[in-house]
Formats: sequence, C-alpha cells, structure tokens
Amino acid sequence: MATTEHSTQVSSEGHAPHGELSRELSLFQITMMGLGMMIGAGVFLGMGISISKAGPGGVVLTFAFNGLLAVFTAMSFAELSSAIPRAGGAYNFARIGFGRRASFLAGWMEWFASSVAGSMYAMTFSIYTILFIKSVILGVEQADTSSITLAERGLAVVTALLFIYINYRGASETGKIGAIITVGQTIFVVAIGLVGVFTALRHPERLTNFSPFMPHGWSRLLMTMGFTYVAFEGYEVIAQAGDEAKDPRRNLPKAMLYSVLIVTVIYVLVAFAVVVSVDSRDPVLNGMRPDTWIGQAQEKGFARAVDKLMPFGHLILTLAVIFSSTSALNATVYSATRASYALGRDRMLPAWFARIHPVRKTPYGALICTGVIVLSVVTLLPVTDVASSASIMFLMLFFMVNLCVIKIRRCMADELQYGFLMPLFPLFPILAIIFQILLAVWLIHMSWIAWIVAPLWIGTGFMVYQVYGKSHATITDDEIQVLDEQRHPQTDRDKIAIMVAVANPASAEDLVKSTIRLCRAKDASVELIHMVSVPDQLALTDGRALDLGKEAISTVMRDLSEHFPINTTLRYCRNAARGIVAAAREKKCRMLVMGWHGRCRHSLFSIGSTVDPIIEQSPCDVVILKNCGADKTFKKVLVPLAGGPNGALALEIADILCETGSEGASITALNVDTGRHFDIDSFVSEQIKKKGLDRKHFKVQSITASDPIEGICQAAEAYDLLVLGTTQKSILSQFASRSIPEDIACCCDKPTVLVKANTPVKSFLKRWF
Amino acid sequence: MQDIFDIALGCALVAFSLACILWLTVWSRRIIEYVAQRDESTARHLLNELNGND
Repeated sequence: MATTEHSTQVSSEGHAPHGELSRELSLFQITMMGLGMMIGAGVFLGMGISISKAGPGGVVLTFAFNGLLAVFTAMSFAELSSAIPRAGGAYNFARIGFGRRASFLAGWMEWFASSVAGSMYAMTFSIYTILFIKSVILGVEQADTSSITLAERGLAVVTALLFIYINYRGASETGKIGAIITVGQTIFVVAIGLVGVFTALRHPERLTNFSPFMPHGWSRLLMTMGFTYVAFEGYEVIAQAGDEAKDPRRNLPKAMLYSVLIVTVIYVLVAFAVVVSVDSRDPVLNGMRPDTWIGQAQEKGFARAVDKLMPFGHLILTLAVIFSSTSALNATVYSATRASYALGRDRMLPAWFARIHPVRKTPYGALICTGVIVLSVVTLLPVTDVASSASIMFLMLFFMVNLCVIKIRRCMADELQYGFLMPLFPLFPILAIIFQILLAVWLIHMSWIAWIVAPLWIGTGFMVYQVYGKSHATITDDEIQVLDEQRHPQTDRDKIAIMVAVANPASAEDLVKSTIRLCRAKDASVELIHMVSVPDQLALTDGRALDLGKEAISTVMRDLSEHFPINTTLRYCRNAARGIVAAAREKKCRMLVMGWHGRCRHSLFSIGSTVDPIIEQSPCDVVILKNCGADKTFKKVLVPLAGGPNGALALEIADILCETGSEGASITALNVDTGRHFDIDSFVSEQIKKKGLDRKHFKVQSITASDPIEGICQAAEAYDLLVLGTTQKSILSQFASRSIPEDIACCCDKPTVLVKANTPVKSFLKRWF
Repeated sequence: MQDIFDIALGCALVAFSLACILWLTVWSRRIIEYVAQRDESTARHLLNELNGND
C-alpha cells in the first residue's frame, strides 16, 4: 500500500494539465491584468484614509515604500512563476515547496483574501456610485460623513450578488477586454497625477500643503503601508495566468515587475496630486489643513480631492471607479472561486466545492461558498476592517510565497528550469518577510477586528485540514511515494538511526557492511534506503513498475539482518537527492552514509549531481565512502586538517574506521603549511578530549607544500585511508563551490571518506528551508 | 526646521524607493533576457554562469 510524504516535487516542466488552455495572452495583456487588479479599490479607498492617518508626506511615502516592498515579493512570484508556469499561483508554490498542509493553508487564505477583496470592490463601487448620484444627478452637496450608509451597503450587496450571478453564468472578462478597461482606468489615474504636477507647477504655494510633512509621526507609515498593501497585490493574478500566457517563462516575470513599477509611479503621482489638490486658503477648509480636510472624508477623501483638483473630476472619477471596481470585483470573485474549487478538486475540502454545473460549466459549489463570504463581509464589516482583513490575508499569503521561493530554490535547484533568478538571493525574500510580519502586526492599530478575523480564518483552516483535508486529500503526481518499507522486528525505535542511501543495489552489501561499523560505534540502527528515480516521461505512479533493486535490497536485508537489525525502504520520486534528504529528515537520522564512485563528470558539481545537493541540504552528518570495500581494513589513516568545521567529525570517523586494536594502527592528523596560522596540536587535543577518543592512536604532522592538493595526495600514498572534511559553505550561500577537499578526493586513488558535519543552527534552518 | 528636514528626508526616500524599483526591474529584465538565451536553465547552471565560473 503506497503512502505519501509531505515532501513534494515537480518535474521541470511540471505536469501539464490534461486539458491544456490556449496560450493567447501577450506580455501587454498580462501586464494589464496585473495593473487592472491593482488600480482599483485599494488606492481609491486607501488614499483618503492614509492621508488622515499619516499626513501629506506620509501618504506619498506609504505608496513609495509599499511599491518597494511589492517589488521584493513580485520578484519571488516572478521567479516561481517562471519555473512553475502553471495556474494556481501561491497554492501551487506552497504544495511544491512545503507539502499539502501548507498548500491547503495557502489556498484557504487565497480564497478568503480574494473574497474579502471582492467585498471591498463591491463597497467601493457602491460608495462612489451613490456619491455620483447624489452630487451629479441630484445635485446634493457631498455630506461630510465618512460612515457607510445603509443605501451604500445595500447597493454593495446587490452589486456583489450581481457579480456572483455573472460568475455563475460563466461570464468572465477576456484578456483583451480586460486590457482595454485597464488602459482606460490607468489613463484616468495617470491624468489625475499629471494634473496634480501641473497644478503644483502653476501654483507653487500649494507645496506648503506638505507642511507639516508627518504630523502624526513616522511610525504611522507602518500602519498605512499595511492598510494599502492590498493595492499592490495584482501580480498574484499574473501568476494565475501561467497556463494562458505566451512564452510564460519570459513574460510572467516581466509582467509582474513592470506592473509593480508602473503602479508605484502612478500611485506616488496620485498621492502627490491629492495633497496639492486643495488651496490651503480655500474657504471650504474652514481653517483646517488641506490634508485634514481630505482625510476627514476617510474612504471618500480621494473623491473630495479629485473634485477640487480638476473640472468634472468627480464625474470622471466615479466612472473610473465604476469601471475598475467592477472589473476587479469580477476577477476577485472568479479568483476566490477558483481557489476554493482547487481545494475541493484535490479533496482538501468536500467534493461539493468541486461540483461543476452541467450546463453552465461553472463550479457552483465553490461559487456559493465564496458568495456567502463576500456577502457576509459586505454586510457586517466596516470598510476599514474589510480592507485591513484583505491586507492581512494577502500579507500572510505573500509571506508564504517568500518562504516558498527560498525553499524551492534550495531544494529543487537542479530540477526546475528557471526563466528568471532573482538577484542577491535570498536578500529580497528575507527583507519582504520581515516587513510583511511588521506590517501585519502593525495593522492591529488600524483594525483590531481584522486581527480577529484573520487568525480566526486561519485557525478554522487548520482545523478543517486536520479533520477533513488530511485524510481525504488526493495523492498528486508531485509527491514522493513509498514503494516498499520493511522494518526489522528487533529494531529499537529509540535508537538513533544511520541512513545508508544506496544508488546501485549491487553495491548495497558493501556499503551496509562499512556502515555497520559506524552503527556499532554510535549504538545506532541502520536505515537502508533506495530511491527509484522515475523519468519525467512517466507518471510518478508508474514508478511501481520500476521497482528496480527491490530484490537486491531484500537480499541485503536477509543476509545482514541475522547479524544486525536493518530497516529497508524503497521509494520512487523524480529526484533521488531530494528524496534521500526528505527520508533522512523524516526518519530523524543522525548520519547519512553514501557510496561514491570517485569521479565527477559534470563541471557544475564538486562531487556529483546527486551527492552535492545531499551535502548542501542534508539535515544530518554526511559520510561519503569512496572505494572503501567491506573487506578492507584500515590501519593507517590520514586526516588532513585546516581548521574547518568538519575536522572534528573527520577525526571521529577516522577513529571509528581505523583498526585501532591492531598493532601499528594510527591516525595521523596532517596540516599543510600554507602560511595560514592553524594550531593543529591544540585542535586535535581539544577534539580528543571532547569526543573521548584515545590519545595514543593519534599523531600530528605538519608538512610544507606549494600545492596542498599535491602535498596531501603524496602524503596519502603511505596510508590505507584518507578522511577529509568537505568544503563548508556559508549559511546564506546556495551552492558549495569545488575546493581542495573535493579535488583531493577526486585525485587520490586511496580509499577516501568525505565527511560533512551538521551544525544545530543549520539543522534548524534546514528543517524549514 | 524639523519640517524642512522631514520634507528633505521624505523626498530623498521617495526618490530612493523609486530608483530601487527601477533598478531592480531593469536588472531583473536583463537576467530574464539572459536566461531566455540559455539552453540549460537550472538554478545551479545559471548561477554558475552568472558568477562567471563556466
């Protein structure tokens, strides 16, 4: 019976859905899709509220900084979308990066975030429509009240219901129509910004509106940034177009970055225009500062400013808002429905969510549930809380995507074909994560209700997954699967485990015999694992037919289990290295032992295409044996040391493998003098004391050589075994570069052991990344 | 005086943010075009090339 692990993987191209969508969306269209989602309610509602909270300077800075933060996350989306250009966005990335539970939460949050954003668009539509009716058609003066009237709420409900029905009918805007609408609304918003600039040029005295620049202090920026973050979430929609975009590896990342750049410039211009829209001497202000007067109208403040800024401003603004909020509402309802439908399709939510209407061909189950959320939020929550809830949820969703980009780059660097790799990795995702946490926390000052709604929704999601999703979720083609697992009856589960990863079943016996020595020294049990790599051309489930090596592994177990308890596992996956790392992590192994043929065929790798990623990602100590046949004995062992962090483990392994009971057996710690100060005597003494080794077996030797590789290889001629620590890479670097130990291991003909010690901090980080 | 300082700092920060966004976009675009010309585009391969080790 096949069981599954949480570790997931995907082939470089992913597995294309059976029914492929036609690739018709150009770079321009997908950029406009992103812009269309961004230039919507977020800026129209957020501008007035932001100016009231952060002041005239704060509102401009809010959008500039949010743009910078958005570009960091957009780069994460861009990299992931270029490597995994499939519809699904964050849900897909989380499934590949962190497994089912994380993907459920991503889908769950995406569903809610899009639904709440939909509620916000419905409210924006109704607020501006009623303003328009009152001031333009009825000629009533704008009321000063900033609260949402019953009429506005009622119209928002009707609007939401209308678009839920439109989605039920199956109508969704096409890329071309969407692009045209977006161009229209973009031109309008740009026009507001440009009019603002011209106004400032014609009336320079209006620049005094910026004084005081930050009347409420700089800390307010965090609050307004968090609140308006939703105005920058459009690149998430671009990620959804992976199946429909032309040349997605190239165009998706470009569209995301272009849309953020364009929208940030526009927002900064518009924020500037809003501040200079009113003359400070205008009698309508009644002695108030211009920013106070605009902010007083809260979510309607933008309309108030535009009305003052340009003739017919109110009329044009209303038309723009009507266009943008309806297209965004349609898109968000569509997106939210698709997120919950995907959860139902994968059986993480009840199958009812995945029900398709026989005539309309729309997922009516998911749509009804989405409609309930949209209508509940529209009916019950104030606008500020709605926008804050949407912002928190998007911040959390993007937080997860930033984690995914780090995890996926680290774990699948050799599998995915990237169209874009972000520069200075992982600086930008880490910065984005820090600021996203900060903004989300700070939003509590804006809306405490949002901080009740968001955790409540996530907590409910956890429960739904535990109670339903975990047991019902379907196995996808992305997951590593166990083919066969045999546990020796005498295995002590409390014992630490040493895992032996066998690439060639024929060499399993030799490798296990060498390992048994390590196991006895460390009082550990043996976990024997063989990964069956399934080629991309075959479905992963077809791996069952490739149970190559099962017989050889069973034979090893039968032969050796009389002497030593061994557990064996056969798994099938796309990539052996990741499968082995996942197994080592799952079985909480203390050490991983592998064999190595001693040749590196590829210039990109230090040791080999399978061994390198394992060394880089392993959550435990790694021991690589080259040419150490089971029948060989080692009396004279050489351990070259240079003060690296793996030296201690090298000495320990040398002590275990050396036949110290035999006459003349010795371990020589060798230092090649390269001019760098290293006190080898103190180091060896310290390690002997720390690890409780026998001092009498150890010798210390120093040599001088112009070329350390040549010097060590020559010295090794007089020894039976060479034990080397691998090159240590820094915690932030992604790949270890080839260095002296790896070169020695390749050049030296003697039996060689390469070791890599695991450190607690790295181990902790590797659990997550 | 404090206000002039705030305004100057604010202008500098806005300019800095926009410049950073533009710079990252241009840099990213160059990487996208570079990657598009490669046959092999795994992260290890690309980083090796971008770091000039190939």
